[in-house]
Amino acid sequence: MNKASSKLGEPLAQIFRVNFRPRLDPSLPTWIGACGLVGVLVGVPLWWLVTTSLRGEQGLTLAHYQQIFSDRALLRAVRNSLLIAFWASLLATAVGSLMGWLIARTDVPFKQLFRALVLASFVTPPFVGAFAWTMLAGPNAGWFNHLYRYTSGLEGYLFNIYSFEGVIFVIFLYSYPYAFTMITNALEPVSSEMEEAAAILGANRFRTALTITLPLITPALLGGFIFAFVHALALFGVPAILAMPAGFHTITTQIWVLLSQVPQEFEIVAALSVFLLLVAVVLLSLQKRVLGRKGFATITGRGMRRSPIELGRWRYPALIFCFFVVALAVFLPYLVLIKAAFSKAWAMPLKLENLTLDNWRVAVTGYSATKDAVINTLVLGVLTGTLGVGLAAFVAYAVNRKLFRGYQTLAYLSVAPTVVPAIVLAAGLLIAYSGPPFFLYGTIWILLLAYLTKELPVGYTQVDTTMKGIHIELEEASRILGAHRLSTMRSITLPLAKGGIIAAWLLMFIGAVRELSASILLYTSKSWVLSVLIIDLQNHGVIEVIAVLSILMLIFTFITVAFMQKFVGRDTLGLNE
Amino acid sequence: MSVKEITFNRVLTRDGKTMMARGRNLRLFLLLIPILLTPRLIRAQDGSLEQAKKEGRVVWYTAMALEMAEQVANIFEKTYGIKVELTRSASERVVARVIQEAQAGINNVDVIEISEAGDFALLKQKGLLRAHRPKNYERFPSTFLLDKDGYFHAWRATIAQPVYNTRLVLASAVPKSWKDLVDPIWKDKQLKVHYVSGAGTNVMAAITKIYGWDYYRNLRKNNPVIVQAASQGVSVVAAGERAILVEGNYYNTVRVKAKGNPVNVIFPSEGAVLVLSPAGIAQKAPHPNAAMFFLEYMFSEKIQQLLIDNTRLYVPHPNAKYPSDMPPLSQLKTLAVPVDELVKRQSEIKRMFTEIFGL
Repeated sequence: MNKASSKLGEPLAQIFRVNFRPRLDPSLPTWIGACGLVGVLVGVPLWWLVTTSLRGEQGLTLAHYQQIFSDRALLRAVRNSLLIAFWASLLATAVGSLMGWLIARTDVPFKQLFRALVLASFVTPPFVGAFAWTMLAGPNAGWFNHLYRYTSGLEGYLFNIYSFEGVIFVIFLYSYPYAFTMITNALEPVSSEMEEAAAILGANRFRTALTITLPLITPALLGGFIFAFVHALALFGVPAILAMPAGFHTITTQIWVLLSQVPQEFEIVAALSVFLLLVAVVLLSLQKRVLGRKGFATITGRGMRRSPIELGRWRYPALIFCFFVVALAVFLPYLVLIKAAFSKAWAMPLKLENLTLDNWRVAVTGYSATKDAVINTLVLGVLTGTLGVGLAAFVAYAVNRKLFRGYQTLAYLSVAPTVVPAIVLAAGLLIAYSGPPFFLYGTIWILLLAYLTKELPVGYTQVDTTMKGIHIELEEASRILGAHRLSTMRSITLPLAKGGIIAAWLLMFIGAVRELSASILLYTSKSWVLSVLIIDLQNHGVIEVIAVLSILMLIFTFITVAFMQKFVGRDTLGLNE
Repeated sequence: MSVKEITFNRVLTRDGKTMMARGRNLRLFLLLIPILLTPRLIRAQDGSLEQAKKEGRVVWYTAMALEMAEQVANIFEKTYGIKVELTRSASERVVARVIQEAQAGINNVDVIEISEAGDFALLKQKGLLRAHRPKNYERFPSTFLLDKDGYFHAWRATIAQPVYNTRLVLASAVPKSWKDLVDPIWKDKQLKVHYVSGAGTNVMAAITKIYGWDYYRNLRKNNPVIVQAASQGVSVVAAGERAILVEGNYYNTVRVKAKGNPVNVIFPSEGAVLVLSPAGIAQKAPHPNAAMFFLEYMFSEKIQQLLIDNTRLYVPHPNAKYPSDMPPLSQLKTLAVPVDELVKRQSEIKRMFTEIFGL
């Protein structure tokens, strides 16, 4: 049997190798396949959303859109979302850019430490932060308000995290790294000559900052602001934890509620989602124009000289400012989480008899969903990273080597999911894949689809950057020496791109592990993930157990970040989300 | 269980048509008619342990406080070696999930148990439940018999009542009635439960019957924080974050109090609200025998007594023994809302809640 087939196989192989292959141009089918795959990932859910939002009793209707703008409750949610996003991103841009400037340009101490801590705020899931802040600034039991009453001897409270301002504050704490990164990226390649020129002409430090540095970074400021705005608009966890108890909705929590009650209102959800999508599309294309505008000739060919601006007597106030920001975003929340995770009841004073390891036992063995959630989260993270990086690497390679005509379309499709807020994507997936012919709802595969789609731009951008740095002549040399494209890829391109590919894998893994906004619509009791479990357990009042799970999630994240630093060995805090 | 009884159970599990098609069984069936008609046996299939074990697991969606539900599940797993997959959510969310899964063609849930009888009637109406009368049901107090066709029965009854933090509220200032709760002195100190929770819906249905929606408009002026479930509310009060939970419940408070937290309940002069939590089996339960076995287990004397002993719930089991600190249900002044009224007022309650509290 074996012999016969190999006898038959030989001439066949010869035919294929010698005669067929050169004639068959694989680029068109590959292009169709790749575009099709990427297109389906994004296209199908969005198509379902649009059609559902227009679905009426008879034929097409705009009634659901009208309802958004006539129903007072829905209109309030839209207004809340826009206001919260505006103030949070304004605050984030102001604080993030000031800190970015201090770190990139001045002689403020502990720069590396602050960079690491900004990275820590960046990777802290905002809902974990929000949860921690309920213990820090709850109006009655929160640490800060205890302190306030204790020191002032007054009644009442100073901070109420369950409020409009509370939501803005927490979103700000976890989105200032966007502006920070954009500003440091914009300032770092700029030589300090111009600033020095201003100084020579007699401008003082602040005049220099105002007239030279600020104009230089205006595009980055605007870009950072818009990015933070869209990010804030799409957040689910923070408003779910802080806004709903305070009695108001944002678009995202409204979508969730409309889908988790009887009867489910798919049409309104679809209309709200399309609205959210349009806002994101408009803003991000605006951002692209702002950032893509011809910049100033800041990077000169001559040798770069960079000398940090001396802050003088402002050096220590600047240090305190930076410290204050990271304390609010990282130190205090982590501290209160750790305390709660080891306490019998989180609000009890820190005494030996109030400490316990029982929360860890309950979290790990007590609740059957926890084990499933941890396993699912890790499985989904690994699958998202692996499949995603494969897809991203293929697309990036094809695009950079211009393997076929129309490669631009593929590049465009791969970054398209950036503009789709996660909850919008999830609503689309939910409608698309929970009926015939695809029954993916109720499995972890629908979550995988969501994560892959959401993380594809992240992975693609990362690999693309790496690929751009590998000059084609190395590959050409290999091809000239007789290697096939595939073996060239294996022995030349892949080893060179290894760092970037590993970074892409880790970034996509982190993205999947902390994902909440899409998961909250797509999970079922068969497909728990850690982030959803943390939100869900809020309703059970087991605060100490949630603290344990939050710490677990942070541990996963930080291990990944540590790997990333090791493999890539540079600043990995890119604008990749 | 004897062999005869098993055969007999099988006959009963089939619907009319199947039985007619099987002539052999038909004769047996006719012979058995007189026995079948005796009430003890109409309760029908309690699912044999062997069949249940073959199915290996049972999926339970519940609105019960997580800790207690876990305990019920764990005992079942240890005793019978059948895994219980537990999902806990607010009542309304459980129902939304069941309906959503049914629409998507997903048969995941076996046993459903929530704290809102109105929603359960909706499930029955949509054909998502199968009838099953637990053992001894004819001896249950009539309050617990919620459905005349036997699709669902109350598994437990919770007393919904305000809960307060004993450190934050002075003994002299403890409110004595529902009416007292709208007093402006409680401004910024209250918690209120959302309508997705069974306790929330039941209390709103009962209180608006006495005071109308103005009661809640006044409560709104006290700026209460909205929580999704009574159990969440109790732990917020326990932590001292808020002084009073408007719609707390007895069983959660007992549980939290036992851990040394400063919480206590109020028996309002108008009466506490009796919240009945129905349990039933899903029409397309993927593990039908395990589902029946688990439901019987839930209504068994042992588990019913456990609910009383550990959490001070009222239960339907006729042999249940209540400790001295629990007044008999008949002596307790309670406000209960009938199932059909809950069904009728559901959309009104949602609409008014959203209008007043903004969620």
